[in-house]
Amino acid sequence: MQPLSAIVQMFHVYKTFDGNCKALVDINLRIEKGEFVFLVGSSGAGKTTLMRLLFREEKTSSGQIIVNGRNINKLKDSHIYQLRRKIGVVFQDFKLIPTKTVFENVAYVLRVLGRSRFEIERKVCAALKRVGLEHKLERYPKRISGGEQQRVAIARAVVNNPVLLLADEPTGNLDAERSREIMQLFLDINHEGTTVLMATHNLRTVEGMNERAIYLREGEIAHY
Amino acid sequence: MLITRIHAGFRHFFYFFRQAGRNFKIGGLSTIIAVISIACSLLLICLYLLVSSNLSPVLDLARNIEVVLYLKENISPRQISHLQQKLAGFVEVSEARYISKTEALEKFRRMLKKDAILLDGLAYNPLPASFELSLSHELKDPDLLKSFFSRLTNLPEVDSLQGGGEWVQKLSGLLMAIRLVLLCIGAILTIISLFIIASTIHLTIDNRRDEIIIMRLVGATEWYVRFPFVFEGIMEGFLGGCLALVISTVLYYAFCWEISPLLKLVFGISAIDFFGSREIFLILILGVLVGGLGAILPFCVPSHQMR
Repeated sequence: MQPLSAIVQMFHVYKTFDGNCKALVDINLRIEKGEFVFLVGSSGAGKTTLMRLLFREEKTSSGQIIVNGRNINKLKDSHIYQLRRKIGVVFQDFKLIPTKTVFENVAYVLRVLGRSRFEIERKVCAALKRVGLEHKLERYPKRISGGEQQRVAIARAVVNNPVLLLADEPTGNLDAERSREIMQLFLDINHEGTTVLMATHNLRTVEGMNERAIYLREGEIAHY
Repeated sequence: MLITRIHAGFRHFFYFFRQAGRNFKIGGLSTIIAVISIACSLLLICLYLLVSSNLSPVLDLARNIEVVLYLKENISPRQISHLQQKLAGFVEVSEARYISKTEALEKFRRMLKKDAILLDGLAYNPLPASFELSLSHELKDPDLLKSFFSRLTNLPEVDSLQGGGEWVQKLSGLLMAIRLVLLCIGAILTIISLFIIASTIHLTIDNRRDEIIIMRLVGATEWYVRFPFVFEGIMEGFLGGCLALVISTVLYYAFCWEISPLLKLVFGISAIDFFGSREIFLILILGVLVGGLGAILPFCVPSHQMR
């Protein structure tokens, strides 16, 4: 068995909006490499804020966050891209570019990184095959179902082999059947070695899986 | 490693160019307005350059016109010789020719041609003796010219002075005023175009906000996000410069055709010069700079800054 090492560590993290609205209060947590962790809480509990702190969309009001061995509070704004190239993010609303095809949406990540056309084709096809959409490369997001759109978003998040995959309510807009498929996809990705942190308000999603869950209530960790 | 980076650089460059072209097309009317506003401001700078390059030689020409010093009546030959020596001593004077009363009358007679017969009825020669002075080419400053003329008129033998001094000064003032007005309006329009470009780019950024969010999310550097917009601004500036040059060319030929005979009559200029390659390059570079700078401005707004 491989020794565990932390991919995410949070030390006394506070996040306050507009001076007095406390979104997160004294968050301390540790997520090991290769883990699958749920972040559970009702709306407004602070799940999304915590996620946004991890890819530096927001900055902490106080406390320290270490991601993949790097203190991201000390990261300069101009170096945030280095952190984001190691992290994949999946949102509830998919955030696909409507004017680009399925292939182009996934290829976008690799284009940004300046990869060659050959490498892009190879990796994008592999990623889309992994999510079962290799036959819908040329479709536009509006021409595929919600579940398929979320699969494209997952393919885009994993195409560059991130060390950490953040998923913010990825099944929030899907029916039960599609949700199960998407959850299975996340489990497969996790089994291949990627650490997954998934935010959800749905306790049923968590109960069906044998994975660790962190509960958030009004910005504080309730219990592990 | 280096070759891979160079390849990636080329790929990025083509991507920026394609993206800028796409933004340019999507921009539609706002893009056209931006190009026209740049063209207007650069057109004024073109006119400034045209006026400067063509009126400066006129001014030089005016300065070359001879100044005539009319002498008082009853000046002795000794006084004339003394004055001639004095005039030769002035560094501002390159040549001083004495014209006696008789020579002046002869000259006038030659000018009148067949009407010279009118002069036969004169009881005496009313024309004064004079000195025709050619001025030095170094004497370019109108103020220096003015003080030199006042020194000449203060000479005891001199009755009056006739020459280009006053109108050289007026022309010089007029040229300065035209330059200043063109430059001021050009500068104001340049600043206005800067903001028009900035707002065009701002609109494009707003239209592509979701895409930009995703770009940043997947690890695009800030310059990767900004470059297509900067390219778009540069393209608008370049096209504005080209348009200004085309309009200047059209105006030049129309204006040249109409006004050339007049300029030849008044100033003796045989042809109005158009821009050289240096000025054309300057206008295009200016357009590119205004466009690029205008495109960077929206990113100075906090909502578009890096996160």
